[in-house]
Amino acid sequence: MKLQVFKLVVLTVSALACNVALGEYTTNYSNVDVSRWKCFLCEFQLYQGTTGQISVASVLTTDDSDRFGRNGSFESAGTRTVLDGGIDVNRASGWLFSASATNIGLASNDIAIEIKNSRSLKANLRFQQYRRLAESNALTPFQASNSGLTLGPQWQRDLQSSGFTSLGSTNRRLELATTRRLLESTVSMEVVPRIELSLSHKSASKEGTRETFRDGIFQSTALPKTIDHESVTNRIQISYRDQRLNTTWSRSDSTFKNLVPLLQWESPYRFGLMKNESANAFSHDHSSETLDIKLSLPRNGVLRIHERRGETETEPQSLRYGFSSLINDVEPVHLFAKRDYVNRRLVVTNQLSRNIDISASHLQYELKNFRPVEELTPALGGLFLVPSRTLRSGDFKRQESEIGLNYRPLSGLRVLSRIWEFTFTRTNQEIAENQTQGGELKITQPLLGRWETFASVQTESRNASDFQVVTTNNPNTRRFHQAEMERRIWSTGLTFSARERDDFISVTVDLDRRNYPASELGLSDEEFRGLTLSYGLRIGESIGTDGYVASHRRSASINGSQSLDLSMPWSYSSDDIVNSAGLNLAIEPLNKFVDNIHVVYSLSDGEAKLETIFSDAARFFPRQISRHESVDVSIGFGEIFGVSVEARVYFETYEARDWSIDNVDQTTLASVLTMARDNPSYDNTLFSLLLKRSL
Amino acid sequence: MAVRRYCLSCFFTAIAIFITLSGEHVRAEESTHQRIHELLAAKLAVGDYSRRGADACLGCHDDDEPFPTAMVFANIHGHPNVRGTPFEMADLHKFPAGLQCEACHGPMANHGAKILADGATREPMVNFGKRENANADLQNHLCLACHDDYDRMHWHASPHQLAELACGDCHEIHNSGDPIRTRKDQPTRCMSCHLDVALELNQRSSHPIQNSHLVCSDCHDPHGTAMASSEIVRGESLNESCVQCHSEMRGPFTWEHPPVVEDCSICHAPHGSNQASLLKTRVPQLCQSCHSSLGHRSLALEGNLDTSDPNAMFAFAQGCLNCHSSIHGSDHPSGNLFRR
Repeated sequence: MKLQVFKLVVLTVSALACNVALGEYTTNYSNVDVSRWKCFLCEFQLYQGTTGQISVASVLTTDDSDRFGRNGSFESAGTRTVLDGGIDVNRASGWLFSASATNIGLASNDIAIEIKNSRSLKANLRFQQYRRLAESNALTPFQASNSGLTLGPQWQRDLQSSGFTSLGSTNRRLELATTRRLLESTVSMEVVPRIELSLSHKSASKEGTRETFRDGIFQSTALPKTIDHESVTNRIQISYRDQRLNTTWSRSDSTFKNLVPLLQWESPYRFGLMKNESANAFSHDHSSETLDIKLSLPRNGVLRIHERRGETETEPQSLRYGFSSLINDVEPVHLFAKRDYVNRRLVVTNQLSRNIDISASHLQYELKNFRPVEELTPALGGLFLVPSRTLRSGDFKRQESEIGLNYRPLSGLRVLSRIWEFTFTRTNQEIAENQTQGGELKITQPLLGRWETFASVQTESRNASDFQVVTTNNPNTRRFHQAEMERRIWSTGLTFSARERDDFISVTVDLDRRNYPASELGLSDEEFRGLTLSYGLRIGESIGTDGYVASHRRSASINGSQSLDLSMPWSYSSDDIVNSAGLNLAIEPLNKFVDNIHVVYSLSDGEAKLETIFSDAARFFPRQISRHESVDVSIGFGEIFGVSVEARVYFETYEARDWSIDNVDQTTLASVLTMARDNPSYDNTLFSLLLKRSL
Repeated sequence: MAVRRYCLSCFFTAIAIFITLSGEHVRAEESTHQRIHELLAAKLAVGDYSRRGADACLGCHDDDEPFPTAMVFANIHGHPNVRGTPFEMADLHKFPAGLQCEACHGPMANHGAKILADGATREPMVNFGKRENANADLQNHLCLACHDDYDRMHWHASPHQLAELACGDCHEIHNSGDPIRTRKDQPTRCMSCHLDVALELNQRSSHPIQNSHLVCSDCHDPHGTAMASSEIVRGESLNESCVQCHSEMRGPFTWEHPPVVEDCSICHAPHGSNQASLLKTRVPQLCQSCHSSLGHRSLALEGNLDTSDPNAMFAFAQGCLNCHSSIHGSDHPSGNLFRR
């Protein structure tokens, strides 16, 4: 589709939307006389006063094995007390106040407060903290943290990692975990009729330790990296709204501050000229500004314009190349970077008749990079200066045009169709331009009884401009996200649903296939296949259940590139297969003693298969496995002396195996000093007894 | 081309079968629904409102109803002293003040008739949620009469609008708290339709959505966004949405990795992945989707995983990231290969 055609359609639809000033539905209030509507009964219905509840739970976890990576806040064995509570105050004056606190006593918790009087004033405050444990038993020889990592005099250097001091004997164990804290607040008020002012503030911080790797030349070391950064965003928004115009203007300013921007460490290797120290840079402080204007004209259809401009810049401190005496003479460099973007979107929707909607939209996103083009002379491994490199950051521009038609005839047939064209242009990249054209057709059709079926097909074709070599980049680099591509997505399903009930049964089949026909190197095709069966059933007044069984398979094949030995073409294929199941069962109420029983079962059984074909022979890698299974049973008992009791048993088992990580310790690879991490495998049972009292 | 083996003619043949299977029964049922819808639209246009307002409704619709109505008085919609709500009676100039139940359910007309003929059914009012009896656009017309503000500005032509979702399919008004607006219940509500996301959350790596540390609306705006994509991601691009939390990745960096600047989802699957760190494929294969190994032999060739092979360091531990660990961008003068 040519862009001119799109513009013509937009203009036509805009004209229709603006000229036909009739709403699809007219609400006639001319006859309303509410002077006698006293609502005497409302007084008896109105929930005023204070309501709330508080609960305290004692939680026992039985298993002490590593359970990292699940964000569960119950990573170790023991007993904990967890407090939850909430209060709602509904004043006759029209002021509503609510506050809630969740998981107080755990490392991850949440506190929220809200006060409002409709549009007159709304204010909310939320504090959230959550901890993510990535590894509970990592090993490192480094004795300090933050920006200076030292090995200590006992460390035995060697050319190979197997000659180092044993990690298991004298070196410290540490936890790799981060804690994120978020504080956000918003105040909105109607300053004059139809004009609303909103102010918001958000500050977030992340602290903890993560693993990072740094190499010398081809000798790599896992380092504990201290994470300590914070970001603050302030926003002001002014909105105006009446029957014919809806517009908003907002501006936000954001700053990011990295409190540990540098890392120095001693090299554990003994290698010729290598010095013991090097330097590393992380993300530096930066700031961002955004200006956002939205305009919406609701008529028969809607004409909507949105423009957002943003600017981000960073000015890191002058950076040294490294600490080697070989490069001490090189002056530190002072770097400045800035980029801005403009995002514009025009949307026109129009209801041509009761049965037909048409919509057209155009989006333009442009990112400009104002970094000075300059040459830097990198020092390889902090040791040797290599030929200078030109900074190659570039601009890009994305234009997306789309026309959609929604047709709903009386027979129950629903037809949704869309066509689109994307254009992506870049500077300073191997592929300067992509053009993508695509379309989608989705048909939903009722069948006999209460069965309904749908089928959709989506097809997309992307072409690419000729490959060009840019600066000193590897000429064999190909970028699959910029390469020619043919994509087709099929989806079909059949559903039986009971009217006015939750009961349903459904089956859905999905296929998504992408081909990269010109890919002599790199990704050549990807495929996703999915089969999902789900149901929902209500038995009588008190039993409800729903569940699903699904199988997803994601495959990719890659044409391996030539290596130093140009006679070594190779390829590999990967398969990620995940079988899942879930079941929910709720019984409520059961009898006068037992209020409810809830059972939740979940299973995710994933494996990854990898095969390399080299010299015409297939070579298989060990399978990766990650299997999670859990059963959660909770029983709620009726109130005794105003206190209700809930007992819960949660059992989970997790097994993960990944040959590339498990048992890769310092003796496994000659030139990599790892933290000897393993994937977690555990069985855990959690018992909880919760007492809840209504206020 | 391989994709062509999925023949379009099969698809359209299947469609033809679907349409053939839908007989008079379907059309009759759809016709009944459409008739009620047209009747409700006509009632709105005529505007024959009741004489007593909510008192006429609450006389019948009490707590013994299968769908009790009284809980609307437990939230802001039913509060008589909150400005601009249907039950506000002090200042009737601000829509929809004073319109009470009929603000949302439409004019009563003959719905409240005391005597019905034998076999006659009561004239319908506009119902929402499980008992919906009008097309989604009519239901939404009533909600948007008040709520078409800047938060809902992108609703028209948004994926949920095109899928004919009604506000009442997700929101509950006759409730003290709308479950989908609470962090505890929101993911479950969304995933009752988006089952594919629910499956991904249990995979090897995922965002912490199951614990409600992160909820769907932190990243998505179900009412539509300025983006053209069907993912309704907040912000003007996917990346801007991601860096709201991962602000250390925002840049600009001195040495930029082009796919990082363009689109995080080139390498990451945001809901969950069978690989570590939400990666779409494992390293080094993910990297080799773009990069040749000319320069060093970073080939994961060896099925026997001989760790004494110098190539092993490119496949084990962090793979390529054993050295190129600043893969999201580097501010170091020597960071051209993302090793610093």
